[in-house]
Amino acid sequence: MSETTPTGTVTDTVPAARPIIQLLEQDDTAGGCCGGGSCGI
Amino acid sequence: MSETIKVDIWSDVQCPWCYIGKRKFEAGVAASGTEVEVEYHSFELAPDTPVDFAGSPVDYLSERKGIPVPQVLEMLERVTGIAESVGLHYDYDSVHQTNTIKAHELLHYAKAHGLQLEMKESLLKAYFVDGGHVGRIDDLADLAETVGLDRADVVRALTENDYLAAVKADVAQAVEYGIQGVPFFVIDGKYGISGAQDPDTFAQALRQVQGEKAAAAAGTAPSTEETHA
Repeated sequence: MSETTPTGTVTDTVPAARPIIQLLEQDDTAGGCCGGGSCGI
Repeated sequence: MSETIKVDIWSDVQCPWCYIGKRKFEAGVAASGTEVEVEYHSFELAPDTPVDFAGSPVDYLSERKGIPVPQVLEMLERVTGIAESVGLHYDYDSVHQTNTIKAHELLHYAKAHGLQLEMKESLLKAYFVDGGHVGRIDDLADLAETVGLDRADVVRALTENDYLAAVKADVAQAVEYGIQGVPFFVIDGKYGISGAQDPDTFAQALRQVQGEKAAAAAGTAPSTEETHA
């Protein structure tokens, strides 16, 4: 998206919103790492 | 002929579940009979770690994260056992806890040279199995050379931070997707799978996406009804 101003055209550099990722059916207890937070490692 | 499915994987080199998840994902792909194109993305679990951290992962998790040592040891023993079950021989006694930002830059460099998958496997093996150091530029360059990359150019690119912006863009994308832990798999840009799931979970997801792609190509919605002969 862009906007025309007295000094020229300003382009909106904010990227378009990505579609929300849909989480598929999965085992919520499968191992993962989050940097020593709730999942430990 | 089936269409190739893009799979984007957020992962960190020092994430034990990421290596396990890699093996399980690979088994899932093989079982699914689908063709995939994999691209790895950066996720930093411990960006505050010094490159030359003077201690082990046990020290790091207990001192920096405040997890009691017995609990850390229990966690590492569990993850080592699960790694063994997928054919990975983790050696935590020789692991060098470090900062992985340069390893992530190297993965982007390798991607630009068509060798990202080889580099990823090499980095994970170096860290968890071989006791390699994946934080120092010289050690990373040695490793890069073993997968066919130009050692001198790797040193130059890592020294000049050529791919730092690409790493940060991956991290920002992870935030945008709401990724809080790794490994995290994004299939066909729309479906997410979190953690080192069993191969069946990956295979099922890939078959689902393949079915959707086939239906879209044929101009029909995917059928949810079973066909009885």
